[in-house]
Parts: sequence; C-alpha cells; structure tokens
Amino acid sequence: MNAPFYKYDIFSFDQSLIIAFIIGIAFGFFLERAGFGSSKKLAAQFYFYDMTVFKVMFTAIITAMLGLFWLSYFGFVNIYLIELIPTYVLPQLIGGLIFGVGFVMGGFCPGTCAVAVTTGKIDGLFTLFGMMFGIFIFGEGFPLIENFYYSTNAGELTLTEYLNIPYGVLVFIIVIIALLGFYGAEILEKKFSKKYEKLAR
Amino acid sequence: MKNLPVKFSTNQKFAAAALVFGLLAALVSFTKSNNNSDLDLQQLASLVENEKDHIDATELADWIMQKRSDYILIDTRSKSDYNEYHIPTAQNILLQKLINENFSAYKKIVIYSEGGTHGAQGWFFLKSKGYKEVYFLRYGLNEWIDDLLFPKVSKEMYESNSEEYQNIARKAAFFGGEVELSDSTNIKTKTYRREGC
Repeated sequence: MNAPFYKYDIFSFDQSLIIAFIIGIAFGFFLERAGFGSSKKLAAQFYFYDMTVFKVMFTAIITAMLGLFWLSYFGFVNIYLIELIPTYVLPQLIGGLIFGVGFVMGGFCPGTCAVAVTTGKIDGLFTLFGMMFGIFIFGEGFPLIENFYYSTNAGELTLTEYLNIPYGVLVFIIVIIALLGFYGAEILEKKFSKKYEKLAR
Repeated sequence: MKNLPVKFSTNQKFAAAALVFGLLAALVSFTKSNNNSDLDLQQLASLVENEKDHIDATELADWIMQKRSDYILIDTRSKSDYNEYHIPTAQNILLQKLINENFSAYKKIVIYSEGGTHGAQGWFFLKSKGYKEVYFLRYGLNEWIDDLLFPKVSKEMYESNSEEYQNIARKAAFFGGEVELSDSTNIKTKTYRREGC
C-alpha cells in the first residue's frame, strides 16, 4: 500500500473529485459538530473565554502530523510526494493579514461560513457573499498584482528544512507546544469566562 | 487501569498518547540515519522518479509570457552558442561556473542545455548545494525549438483552427517561430536525438 494514492494513480482525477467531495462533507460535518457554525463560538476565541477553535485546530494538526510521521516512517506514505503550497513570503503575509481582518469582521473563516449557511445563519450568508465578491475582485484584478503574487518565492519550504532540525525532533517540539497550548488555553478560559459571563451564554 | 490511584480524563489520555508518539518520533530520527551527508538521496530519487525534477518547454514559455519574476533561467551552453540563440530571459552560465555561483534562495532555477543531459547534471549539482526548487528543461533547447518555436501540427488540426491550435500558434509567434505542417503519420515519430547534450 502506497500513499499519496492519487500520486500513485490508485484513482483517477474524476474519482479524486468524488473523494474530495466526501472529505469536504466530512470536514463540514465535524466543523458543525465542534460548534463552528456559530460566529459567537468563533469570536469567543478572540476574547479567550472559549478556546475550542484553538483546541480543535491544534488537535487536528498534531493528529495529522503524528499520523504522517509514523505512516511515512513505516513506508506507507511517500512524504516527498505530498503536494506542498510553495511559500511566497510577502504575498502570503499580506494574504494572511487580509484573511485575519476578514475573520474578525465576519466572525467566520471560509469553511465555517459555508457551514453556517447550511444551518441557516444570516451572518454566515453575508460572509459567504463577501468571500465570493473577494474571489471575483481577486480574479479580475489578478493581472495587476501578478508580479507581486509571484514575488519572494521560497519554494516548498518546510520547518525541518528551514530550521535544519530532524523531522522527528520537530514533531516532538510541536507536540510539546500543542500540549502547553492546551494547558494555557484552559487557564485562559477559566480566567476570562467570568469576565465575559454574559457573552458566553 | 481501573486500579490507578489517579483518574485520567479522556483528554489527558489522548494528550499522553500524543506525547509518547512525539517523543518516540524524536528518538527514531536520531537512530534511523547514519548518513552524515546533507544530501537526501531518497528525496532526490523520489523527485526524479515522479518527474518533479523538470519542466517542459510550454510551461517555461508560459512563465516567460507572463513575465514572471520568480525564476532564474540558465543556459549552460558555450558563449558563442548562447550569442547565436538563447531562450528569452536566459543568462549564460557554464556548468563549471554554475557550481560556484550563488543564487537567490527565493527563486526557482531552471537549467537547460542543447539536449537534456547537461541540464539534468546541472540540476543535480544545484540540488546537492541545497537549492530547493531546481528544474531542467527536459529535452533542452531541442525541445524548445521543436515543440515551441516550430511545432509540427497535422493538416486536420491546422484546418480545424481549434483553440488548441491557436494556442500553439500564438506561443510560436510570440517567440518568433511559426507552426509547421506535417503529415499526420510522422507526428509521433519525432526524436530528440540530436548532437550535443
């Protein structure tokens, strides 16, 4: 058995779309079940009284990270074939800022606003429209920013390469960061849940 | 487990599992490789086998036409060959000089030569120097000339004037070449075995 399956031609492009659809549905389902269909829950993150977003996301990160490390260690996954998005330092910094501002303003990230719409949230609908509008503007204006878009290319950069520490050691460091993060998150929740008692309800 | 003096919550058990797997990961990464070289041959072999080490002429042409600034194009042929003709935006650096040159770590590097060989060898040199995104033009300048400047299309394709044909013709014209008509029978028999590498 060898993964990534798509790269080893286990399934075709058409089949990959069906699989992507199923994974997308599952992703949406778990986002909703984690309570991320509500902008209140998401905004709580920024007031520190409910750190569920942080916990869920970081849990997903270390689960995937440990899974990939051990699957590749035992030869089930060829880690070099996993598609990485190339790093374009400045454009991605700016993009991240725009994303962050949008997240705080709308109370949703792209995935969660879709989830919110399916559960009938009006604010989710507005965020979704805003996102579509942004995509349209970006697409139409792309020739104007194309040079910037492709500037400061750092290639398919990974932390192990950048920091030059062994892959497994980095995995361990990130697990430690996550566990300390979870511990800190619980402390913050206790501290701020009193302060925002009314909001939390 | 039931007799433990302290009760652990599910969260704590998962956290402990993550910690154990993480610690083991750190330990095995010290025991696994005795290879002191920084060169990850496994990775290089994987890139080659999965054809992620080269690009083709049409892809390179797209980059040039889009005036992209995220790549460096290197022509490793002799100065006189370079002066006679080179792919637009290319700079002339011979292989011996290439290995001592310092390039921006923020750009893709594309190497080509007459055929594919020297480009591929240059790819290995730069990879072993630690450059991340290095590619070579698969069949070198020959491919550029045959596939891009003077692509051969069948009569049916020429007459159909399809989008695909227009695309080919537009690219050829952009770089100063033109589409050539050929019998549809020998289209697939072209070879890149010319002199030089």
